Amino acid sequence: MIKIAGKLLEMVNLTKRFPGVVALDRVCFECDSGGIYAIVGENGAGKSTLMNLLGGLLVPDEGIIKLDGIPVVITSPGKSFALGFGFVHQELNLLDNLTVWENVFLSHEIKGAIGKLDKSAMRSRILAMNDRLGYQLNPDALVGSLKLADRQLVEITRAVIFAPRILILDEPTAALSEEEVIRLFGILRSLRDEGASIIYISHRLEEVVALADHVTVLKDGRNAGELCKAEISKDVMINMMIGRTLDNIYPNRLDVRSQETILRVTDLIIPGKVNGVSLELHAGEILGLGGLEGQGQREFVRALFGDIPFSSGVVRVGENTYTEKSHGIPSRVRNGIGYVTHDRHGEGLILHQPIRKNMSMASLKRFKKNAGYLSVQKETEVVLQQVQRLSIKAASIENPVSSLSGGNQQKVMLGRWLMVDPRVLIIDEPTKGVDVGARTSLYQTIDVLTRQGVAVIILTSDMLELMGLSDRIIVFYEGRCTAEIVRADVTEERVMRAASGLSTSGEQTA
Amino acid sequence: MIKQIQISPPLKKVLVIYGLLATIFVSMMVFSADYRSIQNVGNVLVQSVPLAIVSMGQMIVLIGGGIDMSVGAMISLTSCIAARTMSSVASPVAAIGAVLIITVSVCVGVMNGIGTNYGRVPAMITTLSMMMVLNGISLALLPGPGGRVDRAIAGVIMARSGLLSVALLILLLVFILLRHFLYHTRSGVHVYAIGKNRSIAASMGVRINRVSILTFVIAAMTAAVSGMLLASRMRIGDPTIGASFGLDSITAAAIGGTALTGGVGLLSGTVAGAFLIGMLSNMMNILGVNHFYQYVLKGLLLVVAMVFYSLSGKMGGKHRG
Repeated sequence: MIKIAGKLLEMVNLTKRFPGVVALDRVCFECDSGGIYAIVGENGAGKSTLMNLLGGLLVPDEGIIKLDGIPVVITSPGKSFALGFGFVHQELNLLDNLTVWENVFLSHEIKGAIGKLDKSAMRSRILAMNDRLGYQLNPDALVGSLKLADRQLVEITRAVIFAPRILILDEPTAALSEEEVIRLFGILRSLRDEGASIIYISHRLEEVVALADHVTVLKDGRNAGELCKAEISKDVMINMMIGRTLDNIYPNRLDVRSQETILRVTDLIIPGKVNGVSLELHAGEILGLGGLEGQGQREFVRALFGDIPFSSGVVRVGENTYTEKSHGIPSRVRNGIGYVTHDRHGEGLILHQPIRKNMSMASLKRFKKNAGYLSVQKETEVVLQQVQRLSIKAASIENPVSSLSGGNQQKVMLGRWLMVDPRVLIIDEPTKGVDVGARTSLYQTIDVLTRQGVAVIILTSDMLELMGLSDRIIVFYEGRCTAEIVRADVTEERVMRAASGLSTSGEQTA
Repeated sequence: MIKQIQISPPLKKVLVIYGLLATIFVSMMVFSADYRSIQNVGNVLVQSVPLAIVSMGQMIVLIGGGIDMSVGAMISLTSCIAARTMSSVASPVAAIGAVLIITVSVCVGVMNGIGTNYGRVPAMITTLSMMMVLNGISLALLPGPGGRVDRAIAGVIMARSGLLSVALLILLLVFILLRHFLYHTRSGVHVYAIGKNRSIAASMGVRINRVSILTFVIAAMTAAVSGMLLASRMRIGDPTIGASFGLDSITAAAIGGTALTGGVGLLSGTVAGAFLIGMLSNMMNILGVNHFYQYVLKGLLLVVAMVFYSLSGKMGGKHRG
């Protein structure tokens, strides 16, 4: 290969803004052929955004991407492919109604005469790839019938089969067994030795230590440091990822005392997601569930709310007990459990409906009159109270909820659950897409609620929010609790270590 | 490399439909002398052809995640254009008529596709609007049944001898063409891909809008073929002749195992569905069952088929062939 002056890939001062948030702020990254380049950072540090710029799914607002020293604009996945990028996505990007070969070659099919698909050529290329990678994929199997790990192998095959110049892997090992991970690493090393450039994104720091030749650390959408092969260690990476200060937008909760236990979970298991989590929640407490994305926290709270089934374990709320046989959301709502979803538009609000209807949705029983009619008057009264209590800025409660800002929409969802007089309120991403002003007032509301005896569980990918709001933090890693940290002892480093699967005392876990 | 011939799970379901078809057919042959006549069997086959053809087009739209309510109106419009232009085979207007029918059907398909994909209007609404527009145009061309399709043209299309007929040959031809498209071209694979999940398909490099538009064009063209067959059979045009075909084609596709949510469907299943509908109507006509009850039976058939598929789907997962 001819050595070209300049790097294979250079990304210079890339900036990408989303409404209300700067996902990337003048980020620089470069890589050369024949190397494995790791990108690490917390949730929301900008890793995936950066890679989506290369994949043609997003276009940067500012900055330049250069390939072989020549600026390129990547506007579509097809363009990205043509430039020589190969992707293994974090969430499996496969179509399970298609076969393995159809998925592997989708949009890059091999054609014979008169545009007819050359299926046997595609099959044999997959079989050849199987030999090389040590897989046993049947090209004609439906992807929907494969195990999760095998689907990951399909995704890897798809990325590797076209011999990309730059192979990008975003958390590729989530579904793989240890053995398969080791084999994948072997493949990546041999691809590197053949001259490919590999960008490896992972939150598993031990993998990065084992694999990477170079590490780029991102924090809050900015470059936070670079490490060359000799410098790479978990401690250094964690130190670069942390080191921020708490704003004083969080309520002062030093005076909060522990009260009686209101929720007790014993050995909750959701196959493949949660491996035996036990915890207690006290009245008037804010419990924060921390950890990186996809470690089972969300499934855990959804199981508490009865939204997804669990295979064993006991959930006790007050005097009521739920086992794997007792499912369904309505009984939990009757028993005073509320769940404010993270997906406001998808499953939280009915956007075109008025604020009043969105808010009263979970507590319509309160407004029943004779013969099943609803008392709109009473409903209006109660909704107005909530609107005042939460200081929702709306001209009228009859306006569609879509006319509100993100922060006020979030308050509407909170108000909905306040109207059922909850004992336990689960808030998933309390301030996602909410501006700072509305944040403060949401935090105040949560603070006031707990002082009235409500127990709150928050789930957040924002480390500062987790630390600022929680009285106690439980960190999830691969479906287990790896740490329980009370407010007085919490440091960003301890949370990060636990979230990376390290013990909090500083030594590695076995 | 070992080649295995496997019966895929969806094909198994389709075999059930074929089994049902055969059972009805055989029992009618045994119990009804009228039915046994070659004439009648040939009739059933010919009568089912227009629905079978348009149902295949409908199925492709459904697999791609859309729905086309306008195929019936396209059939009516085709029959009206044919009746207005093909009254004499010698006239050059007849050739213009044929070109016109093809052009109109492609345009209708493209417009349905553009409205759905670029206009972001749900396919149901886009094609409903198209249906109304086309119905209006048909009535403007031909306020009631009338016009004339030349004997020579109609004669060729309707030619038959015993069980064999040109209509069946046309069905076979369309089936082979669409089969090639759906199972042996990249666009065919892409139709299944966009029907399952547009955003994943897009991130894998599929040109989703283009593929989706193509499905609507195919549906409109199959409707034109069906319309031409119907016009030839009647030898006149009728602005309402296609009215029932929109829903019937969806019914046939659904009975044949097509998922209305997209991504799943087989051509052979849809053809079987269309023939099942045709055969049942014919059977009830011969048995003298009131026309009204035919609707009832059609509805029941659809529900039973859907229950069957969703129950067997739960056990076997969602697949396509």
